[in-house]
Amino acid sequence: MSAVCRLINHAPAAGAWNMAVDEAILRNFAAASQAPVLRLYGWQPKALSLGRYQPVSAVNLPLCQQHDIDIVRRMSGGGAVLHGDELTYSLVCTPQQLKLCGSVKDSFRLLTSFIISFYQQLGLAPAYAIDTAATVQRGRAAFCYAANEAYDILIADEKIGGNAQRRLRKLIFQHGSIPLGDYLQTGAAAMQHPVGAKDMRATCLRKLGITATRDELTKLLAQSFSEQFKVSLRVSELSVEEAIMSEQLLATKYTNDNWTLAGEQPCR
Amino acid sequence: MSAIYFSKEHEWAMVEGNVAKVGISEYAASELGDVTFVDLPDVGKQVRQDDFMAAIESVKAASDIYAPVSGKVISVNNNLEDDPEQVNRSPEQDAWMVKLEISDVAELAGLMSREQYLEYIKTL
Repeated sequence: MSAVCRLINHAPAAGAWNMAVDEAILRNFAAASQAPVLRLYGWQPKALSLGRYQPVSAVNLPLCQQHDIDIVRRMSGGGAVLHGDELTYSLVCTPQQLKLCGSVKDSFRLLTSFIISFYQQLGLAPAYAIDTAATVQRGRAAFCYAANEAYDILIADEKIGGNAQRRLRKLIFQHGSIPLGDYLQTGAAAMQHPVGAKDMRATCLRKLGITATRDELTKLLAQSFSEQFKVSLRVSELSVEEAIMSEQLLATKYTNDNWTLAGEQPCR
Repeated sequence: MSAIYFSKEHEWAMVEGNVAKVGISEYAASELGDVTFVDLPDVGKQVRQDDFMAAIESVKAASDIYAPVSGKVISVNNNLEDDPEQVNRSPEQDAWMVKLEISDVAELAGLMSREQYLEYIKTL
């Protein structure tokens, strides 16, 4: 293996900080001189993330407040996700670094291949929705787990986790969740128009009988990434620049209601 | 008399006089997949060539659209707010996004003709 990828491991942290760090890594990424960056993290306390352009009216804010669910807005597309006991990844790279082709859908399939491999190594049988008999929806569902898109991953016809992208001129940013515990009903109930159990076919690792610890799963996910993309992982921390920008973004954007509730950029 | 130009970032500009009608190319629309949202700039905004001008979200991906030429936004296609899928149906006709009053026509020389653009996308 010749190509190298930075690996950043973070313990579960607040949603606003997580989103600030993801953006700081993306904004500090200099395509010509940097290796891809894979970050693995989690969420504590639980938080509901909205997609970049999703109206906050999709969410039942009083109910979230009542249940101590933080609200954050992602820079990526897609619908709302409730993040609790889950393993989350983010990835920044150029399309060339991981040999991705241009289209969003094709890159989704390629970029999520390491998650397919991860589930397979756990003894599960994952498949993309488009390769199953599951119904595939066009357009965006308000709650991520309420609908399947072509390259969502299903296990036994139930969706597991979600992935979303932010695309810049020469860069691809993608992050996604691998749910360990079952937060699906809580998340569905937190929507302004709650999703009924019969309309939601989704699952998580614990429901599938996976008992491995978070640390074991984190190692396996990193190993799957390394094998799938034929890169060696170099364990890394945030650089000084990334850390400083994370704190700035946390203060000015990700804890700012103008961004979280209205989706307005604090500065451009 | 109008002429169409394309940028390397896959925007097209249909230029008539000193006004450019701008949208994204069929290639870009196809690569994005199903478009679910278009965020257009305010009328009156000044944009510079290659700078962020608008945003577009397809299923699960949020992407930026860059100004192919510098100028002032004089009109936006509000139909796209209610019907973003128009970008997939008719990217180079009905789904124009912004009309710009061009501030420097010399910038057009840095853009590609349709023939050049079609050759360019073969290299991607």
